[in-house]
Amino acid sequence: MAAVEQQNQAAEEDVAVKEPLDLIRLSLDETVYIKLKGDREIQGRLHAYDQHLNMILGEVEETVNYYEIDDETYEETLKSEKRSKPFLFVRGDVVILISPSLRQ
Amino acid sequence: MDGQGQGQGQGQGQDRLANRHQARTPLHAKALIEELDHKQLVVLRDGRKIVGLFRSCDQFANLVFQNPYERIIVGKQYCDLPLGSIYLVRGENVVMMGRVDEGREIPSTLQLVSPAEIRKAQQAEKEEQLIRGTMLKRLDFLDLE
Amino acid sequence: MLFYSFFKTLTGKEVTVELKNDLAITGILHSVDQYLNIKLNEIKVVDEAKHPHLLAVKNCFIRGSVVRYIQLPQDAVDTDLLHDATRREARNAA
Repeated sequence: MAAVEQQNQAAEEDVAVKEPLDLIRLSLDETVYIKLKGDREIQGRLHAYDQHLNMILGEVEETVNYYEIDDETYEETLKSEKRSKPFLFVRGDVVILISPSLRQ
Repeated sequence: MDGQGQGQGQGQGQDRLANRHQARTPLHAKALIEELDHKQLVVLRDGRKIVGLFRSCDQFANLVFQNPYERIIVGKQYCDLPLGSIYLVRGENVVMMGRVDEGREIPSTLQLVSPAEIRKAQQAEKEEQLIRGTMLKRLDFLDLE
Repeated sequence: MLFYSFFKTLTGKEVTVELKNDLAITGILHSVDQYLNIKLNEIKVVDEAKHPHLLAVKNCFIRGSVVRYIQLPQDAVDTDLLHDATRREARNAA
């Protein structure tokens, strides 16, 4: 009896969203979009996270935006560079936002 | 010959010092303790590079160096400027620390210049970056997207 | 503690650590501590020409707080294990 109750409770806990991090728990093994400090964004499958928002992602695509400055005219052009990585640990303190990614 | 003798003496002292540290420091600081009494290169958050004999540390990665010098590299030129006898680096400013291989400390592509020359080169580099920085700020202000 | 435990299982494997100052270092993971400070052996700086001062350095200690990413070897990641550990950690934190 008690064991069944506990199991039900656990199942309820698994879907209930009581605090922000619960939303991230529901994205486990799903593709997420993450905006990072330093004009970077990444998309990837969320495999692990902790309360600091440290994360491990799989099949990652990173986009870095930066200004390139011409050596002579000092003219700036906005460039964007994409990189793929199979598995990536991301440190929580560079994370700005996490969102369940829209399917493309 | 003289140098070798000194090296051995230092080796014994090093063991004693390491043992003393091990007794007082929690296990997780072991990574740093292994590096005690070796010459290290430290990179700071502002990009400065300090080379010195690593003498002490704690759990915040506060680091103490003996006879350190700042290694300034501008382009293909470099210069080592002494920083005094004892130097403490606050942990939060440490980016990384690596043991220096004394045999090949300076890459042969770099050329030693005088402190005055390196300061001049540094100033020129700084001014160029300043111009670039100002341009970027102006663009931020205009909020072009 | 999840990531501390995870990185302990990666010791001896090759990783690439990308720092917040854009320096990227590849090396064999020697050890990690509770702050996720990292020690690498046999290091190679990805953009060596830009960082000539690091040519003389073979091992290094990296302060956890300056890390942006760590690229992990594909064969060292058990995703099912990570999912379970993450759920457990989330329950314990609640």
